[in-house]
Amino acid sequence: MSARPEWYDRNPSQAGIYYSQTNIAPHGNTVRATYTAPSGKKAFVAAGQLDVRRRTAATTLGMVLASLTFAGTIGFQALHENNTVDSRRSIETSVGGVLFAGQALQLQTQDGSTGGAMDYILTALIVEFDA
Amino acid sequence: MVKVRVKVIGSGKEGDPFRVNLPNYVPIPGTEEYADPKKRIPKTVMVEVPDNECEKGRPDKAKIRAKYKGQPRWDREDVLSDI
Repeated sequence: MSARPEWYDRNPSQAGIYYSQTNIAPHGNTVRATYTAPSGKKAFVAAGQLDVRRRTAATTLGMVLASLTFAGTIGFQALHENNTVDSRRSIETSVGGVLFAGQALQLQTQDGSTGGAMDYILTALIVEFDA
Repeated sequence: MVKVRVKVIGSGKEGDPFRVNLPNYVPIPGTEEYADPKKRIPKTVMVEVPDNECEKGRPDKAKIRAKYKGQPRWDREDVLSDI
């Protein structure tokens, strides 16, 4: 009788999601990437990064946020409320959570300012494997 | 990955973000078409979708239903009706 292989040996594949864009004007809450675990699979979310940078000053400053939503709940957020050009808010973290079939991971941004623009780099490293 | 232009849904408010009703996609930055450019309400956007969810350059209902079989949100007859 053989032991069941570890998760990383059960037909694994990389399924990361990534968004990188500069000079983004203020906008409503927007999904920048979505991953859903397929049936018969699970997904290990190994790490995530949210990097927000002010590129040009806003006329009226509002809250800027980037978030990683894990199975419908906000996993972590980078909140930025600074009108200084080149100011940054960065979060890099090991997530270590597992998505079950049908659960989704999303990267989202929002900028409540008037005028100005931001740069964003958002990423999540995901390994999909047999459930 | 397949690149395809699709419809954007949502209001842009918390809990109802601008989004595409696909299980697995990444929008291509700078490809948004706006219903109202002043208010920046997106109407369509180009997205990248995994090859195994597409057929002939478009998201494919049968492939998505098979990949997400048994999941109420995606294994349904009207799964791509708002794309």
